[in-house]
Amino acid sequence: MVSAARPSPVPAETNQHYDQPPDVFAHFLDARMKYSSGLYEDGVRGLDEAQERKLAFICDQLHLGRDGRLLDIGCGWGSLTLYAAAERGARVVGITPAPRQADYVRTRAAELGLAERVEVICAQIDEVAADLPAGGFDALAMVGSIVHFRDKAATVREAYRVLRKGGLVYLSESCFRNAARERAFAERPGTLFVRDTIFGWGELLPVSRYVAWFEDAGFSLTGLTDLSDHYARTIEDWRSNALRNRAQLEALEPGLTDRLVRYFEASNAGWGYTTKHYALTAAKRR
Amino acid sequence: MEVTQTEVEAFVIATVREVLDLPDREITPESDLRDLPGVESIKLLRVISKVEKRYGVELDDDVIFDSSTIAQIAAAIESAVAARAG
Repeated sequence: MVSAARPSPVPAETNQHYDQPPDVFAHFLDARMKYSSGLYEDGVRGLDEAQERKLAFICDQLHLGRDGRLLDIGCGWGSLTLYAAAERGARVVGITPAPRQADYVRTRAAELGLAERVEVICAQIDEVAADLPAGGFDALAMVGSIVHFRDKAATVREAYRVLRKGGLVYLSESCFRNAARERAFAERPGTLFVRDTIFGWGELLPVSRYVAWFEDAGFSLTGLTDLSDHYARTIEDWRSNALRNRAQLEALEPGLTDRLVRYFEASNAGWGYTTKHYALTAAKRR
Repeated sequence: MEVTQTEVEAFVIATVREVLDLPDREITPESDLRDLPGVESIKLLRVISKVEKRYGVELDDDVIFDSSTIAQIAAAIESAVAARAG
């Protein structure tokens, strides 16, 4: 019953979507402009706190401590990059293909006195992966970014290569709920779900595919967390913010508010039925 | 809670009207949801979600993804409610 075909999107849309001016995102995201799921643990009041808890969760999952070397692939507006450097004293390399994001993160790092702890590379991961030193990182994060990468299996293998022995990787991603749902949608490429659940071009997969790639690369899996309900609440907060800031969004671009709200509603319709949001952790060890 | 299929059908139709914004269109239990104007997968999922919440049940995937008519969905809801009560 559930189907709707739309033309297949192209990879360039990832950059277009994420390379909009920071103002657009500031009007619906949290103060750190983290464009992925928060963590609504008990006692959390609102989006800002939920995102801070999530950043702490990611750093905890990665056992990130003082001078720990973190590679943040798909760093976006730098929420994790800056948090890890500021709150955990980590040394962070962030990678984003969007020039505006790279400039923004560099500027924020300088403002926060973190310039010596933060380096930002503006490139697609597959353009720079080979230049990264083998064993050069203690921890690696891909927060809602791998869905946009062209060769996901190769990226997981590169993650293994650049981690030191015993190093940890954290990946969170929106996924098809299972292979059956993937097959159903594969027969109708470019469905609303594939497009709208992931904000910009991307290829939605069941989490089992990622698990297999991690295994094949040599990782030991250490954890899988279901964040779907947290993402639903996050997106509901983004929706409320967009509606509250309608005047400012419309001043930037007429019609933007309704387009964003439609995006958010489309995403939130699918959780549990067709889509899930998982965090997966793994270690470079036998 | 006991429900009849007719009652559920009426609720599903009302929900479809609301979600698809079709206040005046004739919709019967035999209407094929995929043929309704303005229909999209996300809207149909929103209909399913509202109906599941109203009756406190979760439908099986084959009902959600393979049903065509309102009557089929209502029948599945009615039997899920009956199974829970029984």
